[in-house]
Amino acid sequence: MRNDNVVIKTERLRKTFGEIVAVDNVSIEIFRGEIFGLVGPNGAGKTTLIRLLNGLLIPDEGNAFVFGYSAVKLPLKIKKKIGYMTQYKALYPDLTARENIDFFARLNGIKDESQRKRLVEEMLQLLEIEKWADVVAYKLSGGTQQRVSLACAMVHNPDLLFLDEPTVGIDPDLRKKFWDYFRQLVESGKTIIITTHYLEEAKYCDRIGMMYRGRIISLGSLSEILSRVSFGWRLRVTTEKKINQEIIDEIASSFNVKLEAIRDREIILRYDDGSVIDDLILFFNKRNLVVEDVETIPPSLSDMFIHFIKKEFFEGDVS
Amino acid sequence: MNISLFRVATIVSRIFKQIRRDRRTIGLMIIGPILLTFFYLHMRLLAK
Repeated sequence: MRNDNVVIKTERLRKTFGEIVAVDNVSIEIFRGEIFGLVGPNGAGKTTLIRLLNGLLIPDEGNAFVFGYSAVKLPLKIKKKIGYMTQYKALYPDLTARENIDFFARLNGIKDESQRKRLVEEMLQLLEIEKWADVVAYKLSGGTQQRVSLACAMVHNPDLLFLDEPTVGIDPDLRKKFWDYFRQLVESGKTIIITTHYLEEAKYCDRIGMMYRGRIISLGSLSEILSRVSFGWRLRVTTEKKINQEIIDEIASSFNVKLEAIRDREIILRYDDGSVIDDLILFFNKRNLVVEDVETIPPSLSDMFIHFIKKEFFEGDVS
Repeated sequence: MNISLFRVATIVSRIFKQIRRDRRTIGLMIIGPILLTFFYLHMRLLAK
């Protein structure tokens, strides 16, 4: 692997635990300066994939490369370029927040004490945890512990950050702050691989890999993934005058659509074939109903997810 | 395998910091051996 922009490359990666296939035939490339989201329900294989990429697990089949080196034998100089925030808070409960961060800075080879002190203070300020800097970790709230964990993963200024469900159990306000901060990091050239089971968080990622039962069932930017889904789109039509029952009945019987909501001058319907939009506008015009506004509403992320699961695991039954 | 002395020192200092704050462990480290010694002596006296 020689492309400098490719930070991670996997080839048909597979990992099993006994009968359970945790990661199945995963081939992906992750590029410098992007937030790559692994999205999927609990048990989909996200954490196992991250652990394979970190070199903490050895794959049964396939290869993974990080910065061009095999993930199985990462040299120390590469390990120092990686930060990993685990799903479960990996803090020492009897150490203070400051001591925890300092410990991880030392472990990552920052020997100069004044430099380390400066980096720890920067982290405390950045994540707004100065107030709790000298409180032992077990006395901190869940959200603050999460922030300290993030600080521990980032204190050595890594180029590649693995964040395993960093936003679980934290309030929406802080979650938003985390995402803003992740965005700032990638803008400065870092690469972030993040797992989440909150589907709505996929919108913050540059690209996502939807994972289910160990497989990547869809990969790309949100708009690319959306463009692959013809199912579940909705159309909102607003007319100048009230839409009467006769017209509604006619739409239901003549078009391949499902009526979802009907208000005075507004109708929302679900369609599978985009060509129905022009036919509907024509239909309204013929009935002297001036169409004021037409809006297409994309399927929700959970709709898309279910669509890809059906496609991957129950081929031919995509409905 | 390279073992970095700096890393070893980091881990050792972390363990000492943790023990220092863990009163229960410190208590067990001091009181436990004393109790065992008394128990042993008592058993020996009984055996005589």
